[in-house]
Amino acid sequence: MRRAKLRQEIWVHGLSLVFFMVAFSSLPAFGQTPILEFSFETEPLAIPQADFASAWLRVTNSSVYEADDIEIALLSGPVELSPIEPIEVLDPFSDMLLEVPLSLGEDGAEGEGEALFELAYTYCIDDVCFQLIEEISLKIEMTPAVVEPTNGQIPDPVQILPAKERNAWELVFPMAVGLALIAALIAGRTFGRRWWVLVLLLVVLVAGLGYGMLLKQDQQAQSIGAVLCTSCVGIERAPREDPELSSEARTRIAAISQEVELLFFTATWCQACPYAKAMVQQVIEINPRISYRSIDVDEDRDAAKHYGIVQSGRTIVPAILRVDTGEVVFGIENLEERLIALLEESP
Amino acid sequence: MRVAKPRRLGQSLGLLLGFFGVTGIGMTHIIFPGLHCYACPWAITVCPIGLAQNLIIFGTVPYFWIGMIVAYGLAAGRGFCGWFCPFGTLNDLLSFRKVKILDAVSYSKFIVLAGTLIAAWIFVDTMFCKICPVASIEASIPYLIMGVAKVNQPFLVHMGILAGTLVGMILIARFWCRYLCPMGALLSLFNRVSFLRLKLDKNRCSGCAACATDCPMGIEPHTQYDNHNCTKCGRCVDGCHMGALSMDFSLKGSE
Repeated sequence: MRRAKLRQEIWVHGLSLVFFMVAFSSLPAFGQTPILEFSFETEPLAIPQADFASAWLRVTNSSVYEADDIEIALLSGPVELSPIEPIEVLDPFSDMLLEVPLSLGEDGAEGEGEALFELAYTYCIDDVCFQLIEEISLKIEMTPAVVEPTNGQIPDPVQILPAKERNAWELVFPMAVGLALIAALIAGRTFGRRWWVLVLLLVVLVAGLGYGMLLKQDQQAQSIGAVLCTSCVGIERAPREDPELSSEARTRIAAISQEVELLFFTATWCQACPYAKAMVQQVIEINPRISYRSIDVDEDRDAAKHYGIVQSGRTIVPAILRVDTGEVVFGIENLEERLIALLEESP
Repeated sequence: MRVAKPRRLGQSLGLLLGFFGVTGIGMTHIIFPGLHCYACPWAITVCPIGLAQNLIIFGTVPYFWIGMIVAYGLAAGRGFCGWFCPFGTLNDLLSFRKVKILDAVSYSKFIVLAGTLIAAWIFVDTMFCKICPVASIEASIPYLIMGVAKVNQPFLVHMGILAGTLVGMILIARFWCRYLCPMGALLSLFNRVSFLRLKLDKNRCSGCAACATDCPMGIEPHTQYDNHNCTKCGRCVDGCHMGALSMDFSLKGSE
């Protein structure tokens, strides 16, 4: 009887543990993450009259994509923004501190104000690029002019510093987690689970999960998982070269006499999309009666769902849809043949 | 039958979590405690091996990944192979010939694991996924039916490997789990320290080895109850006439 009870406990405990872990790790799933996040480190920023001060803007890239040409412009506010060169590249899962040099005119009133900035950036996957624009405000405290104005020039306009200077912690922490894990596993295999082995493992567990979630690695895992890269799991190969239509294909495309409207479904992360898009572009160059519109499935989920491009909550791209027939061509395998068949079909 | 019933429930839950995307829920932050393709149209969880390869490609120090793996390992070790993993369940269903495991050869799964990670580093691509039989079942075939995939060379490679693995699984019970699974290799590191474990009462054991004939992993539970290959499926517990083997889930650890 005792054993029966114990067994019942085993699976009750086991299942509750699994449910707990699942619930625990799915909590952050509710937040949507933008590509880049911006926040001012120094808020409010005090600027003396007829003087300048620098605001530090932290730019965090929590996505798997590289962001390019991050530019800041002043929309409104009591201050002047000295020109800054754009950040050319911000790698995936990294952040930077951008110095934003601001100055206040002599006649600036004392008190509090607010400056509004516009931030523009692009991100690209192969040839497909997207520009995003966001706004951020900064509270400004305008203080009386200092008795001896800093006889300075406006600081060097471009100062991009690595956000966190590579301090010892960044090296010590991963090494400590790694060493503790290895030590715990070796100890566990040699001695079984003594209390100190358990403690070591729990330390690695808590440190790993805690620091990992602090670095938003759980979100990173999600974005990696949501990517259906057909070439990654070997559904098809993503060609690196541009497509070239055969002369026979060109003749057949030129012979199409009806007006055809295509919808081209793409996504920023789609590796095979640029190839498909290049082919569609070649097609419309040959025959102007054929037109196409590009739709980003991440941005316009409704359209993608409506036309059956998103199936079971998962997006499949590239996909080319002919509007009047509703026929869809997925992927890039043997695309030339299938695309021409799609075009030649009579509605 | 006593362990079998809750285990079937656990395996059903594994299948439920694995294919929960049929409800329309998208990808979550959860790392799956088993080998389960995230490219599957109905997956809502991330494959630990696929993620590990991507983290190597991105050059990320995998804190979150380590934390989750340790959490799973500490909870049940390879118990997830026996109780939760959908591909483990398929292995289970094909466990006809419970031949003895070749102990030395069973370390080959560590070579698969190391090879997976090294290949990701060298080729900057998820090389293992292209030959993974789980991806064959959960991604290649569904996408072929959905009309996205075509019968092409990568597809045939997938099917060839799947066929080979299935034949292996029919000839040798839990062939994939024994010799090839990189996730099994990872979890096996935790087998001796996990909360879920197989316990042997030496005073009751008569040494009849009846448990060994029941073991799909081909180990001898009455001598190797804490072996790294044990998936804690509990067939030996149900098969022992003397009641010497039992399953234990305790936070206290070894007695």
